[in-house]
Amino acid sequence: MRARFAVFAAMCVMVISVALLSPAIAPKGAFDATMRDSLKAPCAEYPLGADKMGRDLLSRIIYGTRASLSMSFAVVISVSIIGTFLGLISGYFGGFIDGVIMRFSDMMIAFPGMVLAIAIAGMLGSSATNAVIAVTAVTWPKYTRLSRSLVLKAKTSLYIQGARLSGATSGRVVFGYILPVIFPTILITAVTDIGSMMLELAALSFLGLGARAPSPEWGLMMNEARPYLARAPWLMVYPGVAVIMVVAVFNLFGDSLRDMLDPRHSG
Amino acid sequence: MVFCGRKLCSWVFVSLCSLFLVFTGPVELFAAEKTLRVGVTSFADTLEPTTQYFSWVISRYGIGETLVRFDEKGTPKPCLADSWECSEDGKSWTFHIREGVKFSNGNDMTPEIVKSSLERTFKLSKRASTAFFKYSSMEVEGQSLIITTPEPTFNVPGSLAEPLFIIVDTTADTDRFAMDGPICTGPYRVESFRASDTCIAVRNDHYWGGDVPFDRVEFKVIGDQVTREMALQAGEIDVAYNLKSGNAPTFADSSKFTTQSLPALRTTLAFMNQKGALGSKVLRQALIRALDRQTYVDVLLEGGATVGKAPIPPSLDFGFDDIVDPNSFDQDSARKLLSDNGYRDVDGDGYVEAPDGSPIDLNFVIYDSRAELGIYAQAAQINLREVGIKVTIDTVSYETMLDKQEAGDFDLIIWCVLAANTGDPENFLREYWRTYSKEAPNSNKAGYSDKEVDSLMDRLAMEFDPAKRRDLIVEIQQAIVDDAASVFFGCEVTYLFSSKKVTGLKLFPMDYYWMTKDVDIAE
Repeated sequence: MRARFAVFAAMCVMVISVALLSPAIAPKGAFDATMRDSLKAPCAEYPLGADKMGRDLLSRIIYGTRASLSMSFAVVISVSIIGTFLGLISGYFGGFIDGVIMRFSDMMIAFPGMVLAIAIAGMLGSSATNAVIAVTAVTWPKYTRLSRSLVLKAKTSLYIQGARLSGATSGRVVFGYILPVIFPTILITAVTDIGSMMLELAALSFLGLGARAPSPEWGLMMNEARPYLARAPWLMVYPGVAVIMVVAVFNLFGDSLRDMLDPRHSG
Repeated sequence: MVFCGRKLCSWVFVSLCSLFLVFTGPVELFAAEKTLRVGVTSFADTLEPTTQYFSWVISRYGIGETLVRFDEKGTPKPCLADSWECSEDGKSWTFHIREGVKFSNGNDMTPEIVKSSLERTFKLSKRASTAFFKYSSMEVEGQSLIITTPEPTFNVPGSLAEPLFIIVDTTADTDRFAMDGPICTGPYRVESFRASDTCIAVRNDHYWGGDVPFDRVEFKVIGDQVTREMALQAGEIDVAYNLKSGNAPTFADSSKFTTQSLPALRTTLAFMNQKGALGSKVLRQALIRALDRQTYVDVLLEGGATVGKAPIPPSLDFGFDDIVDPNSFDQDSARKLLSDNGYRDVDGDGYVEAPDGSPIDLNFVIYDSRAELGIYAQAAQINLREVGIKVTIDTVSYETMLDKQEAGDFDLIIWCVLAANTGDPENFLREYWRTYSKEAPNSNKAGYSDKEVDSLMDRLAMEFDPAKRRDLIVEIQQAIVDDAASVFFGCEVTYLFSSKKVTGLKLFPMDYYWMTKDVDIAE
C-alpha cells in the first residue's frame, strides 16, 4: 500500500515539476510561432506537430500543465476552505445559521453542476479566473455537507463535551478539536477531486468559457483543433492524452492517499 | 419446431411491414412538399428590415426585394422598378414602378406603398440617410416615384438596391414584421422564424416574377463551421453558406457536390481607435509594418483570401495596384520606428511602453461568426508580440461587436465589409473614413479625421464622370493608406458548397441574393 502511494506521489511530483520547470523542459516557447509551419505533422522539429498558427504542440502541452494545475489547485483549495468553513459553522452552531447555509447549498445542488457552471462562466465572461469562480461556485456545497455531517458526529463525542465543560470557547472547540478530526476526510476528498476539477475546467475552456486564446490550456487547445480534426488529428489527440494522463495520476494518487489514511476503506 | 419457425417468420414479416409503414407513412405525406434545406449562419435577431443589417437576411432568403437589384457583374438592373432616369442637374431621380406586382398577402404594390415603405426605412434606420443618401422630397406621379435630393447624388439606384430599402407592405401590421416576417414581394414568404434556430419560408403564391419551384425552404442556422460542413456532407442540408477554403477538400467529389467561389468584394480590416494609444501615427505605422499579411492569406487561410492594402479590393477597378503602401511588412523598421520615437520596454516584460511610460495593451475586438477573423487576430497578435506591441483579443458576438463599435469601446476592431454594397464605393469610404461630426454622423467611431480626405470626398459626391470619380477614389484611398488609418488584412474569397442536385444557385458579388426563383432541385 505504501509502495503504491509512493509511486503515485512520485508521479504527482513529476507532473508538478513539469509545470514548474516548463520553460526549461519545453523545446520552444508557448507563444513562439512560425506561421509558415501551420498544421505541420509530427516530425523531428515538432515532435507532436504544429498547430494552426505554427506553434510547437509539445511545448504548448508542457506549458499547459501550468494552467491546468494552477486552475484546478485554485478550485480545490478554495472549495475546501470555503466549504469546510461553512460546514463547520452550520454543523456546530445548528439552528438558524444551519438552516440558511443548508437551504442555500440545497439550492445550488438542485441544479446540474456543470450546467450551472457553464451559466455562471457565461455570465462572467470567458477568462481563466472566471472559470475557476464558476466551478468553485458549484462545488462548495459538497464540502459543506460533508464537513457538516462529520461535525455533527464529532459534536456528540465525549471529548468535545469534556472540552466544553472545561470552558473552551466555541472557536477553540471548532478549530482546535473538531477540525483536526475531520481534516483527513476533507483532505482525501480534495485530493481525489483534483482530477475531476481539472476535467471540468478543461471542459469550460473547450466550450470557450475558460482560458482565452492564445494561452496554452488543454481544453482550449482542443477547441482550437476542432476545425482541423480530419486533417490534423494530432492537435486534438495529444492535449486529450495529456488531460487523461494527468487526471488519472491525480485520481490514483487520491485513491492511494485514502487507502493510507483510512485503512478500513481499502478492503 | 418447424411450426414455431414459421410462426416466428410471419411475426417478423408482419412487424417489419408495420415498421415500414410507420417510417414511410409520414415521409410519403411530406414528399408532396418540395423542400430545400439550407445551412446558414445568421445574425438576424428579428426580421425587421430596418434594424441593423437584418434586411440582408430577408433579401438572401428570397423574401424581400428592392426597386433595383444587382446582376452577377454588380451592375444595377430593374427589379421592382422597371426603369429609372436622372434629371440634368443630378438632383432628381424618377423611378417607374413595375405594374402588376403583388405583395405576399395579395395586396397590390402601388407607387404610394413604395413611397411609404421608403419613408419608413428613412424614418426607422439612421443608416439610410447617413450611409446612402438624403432626400428632400419623394413624390408619386402616376406610376412613377420621383426622389429629389438636396445635392446632386450619383448613385441613387445603386443605393436603393441595398436590402435596407426592401419594399414592404406598409398597410399590413408592421409591428408583426419583427417576429412573423415582413410582407414583401419575393418568391418566398416567411412561415415561421426562430432567430437562432430555423426560418421556414414557403412559396409566395402572388409572386410576380414567374414560377417558384419549392413549396418550402428551410434555413437552418448552424453557427459552427465544422457542424455545417458535416451537415452538408451527410446530406442533412442541400446548400451550405459561409464555408471557407479549408472546407473545399471535403467537397472535392464533383459527382456529389458543387463548389463555387468568387473573389469577393469583401474586405477584412481593423479600425484603429485614434482616441486611445493608437492616436499616435508612429504606433499605427509600426503596427501595420509588423503584420506579415502575405503569410496570413497564403498559409493560414490557404489561399482563401488575397492580401489587403487599401479599402477597396482588387476585384473592383479602383486602382488597388496603383496604391502604394508605405507600411508594407518590415518588422525591423517597425522596431526601429518604435524605439526612435520613445516606445521602449521599460519594465522588461517583452512589450513596449508608451513614451510617457504608460503600458500599452491594445484591446482587439473580434466576433465569432466568421472563422477567418479569429485567425487574422491571432496571427496579428503573434506578429505584434514579435515587435513588442501587446494585444489582447476580445472575442464577442456580432451584436456585441456592433455595440462596441458604436460606443468606440476598442483599440482595434475587426470589420468584414462589402466594399461596394451599392455598386460604387463612395458610400463605403464616406461611412468609415469621413470625419465624424454630429451634423454628418457616420460609422467612423475610430476618430479618424483628415481634412484632405474630407474635401476629396465632397468633390467625389459632386462628380458624375466615371473616369474622374475613379481618380478621386484612388486619391482618397492613398490618403487613408498614408495616414495608416486602418489595418487592411485581406479580401476574402467567398465559397458556396452545395449538393450536386441543386441547380440554379449563383454567387453574386453583392452578397444579397441566395434564394432566388431560379434555384431548383434536379429530380
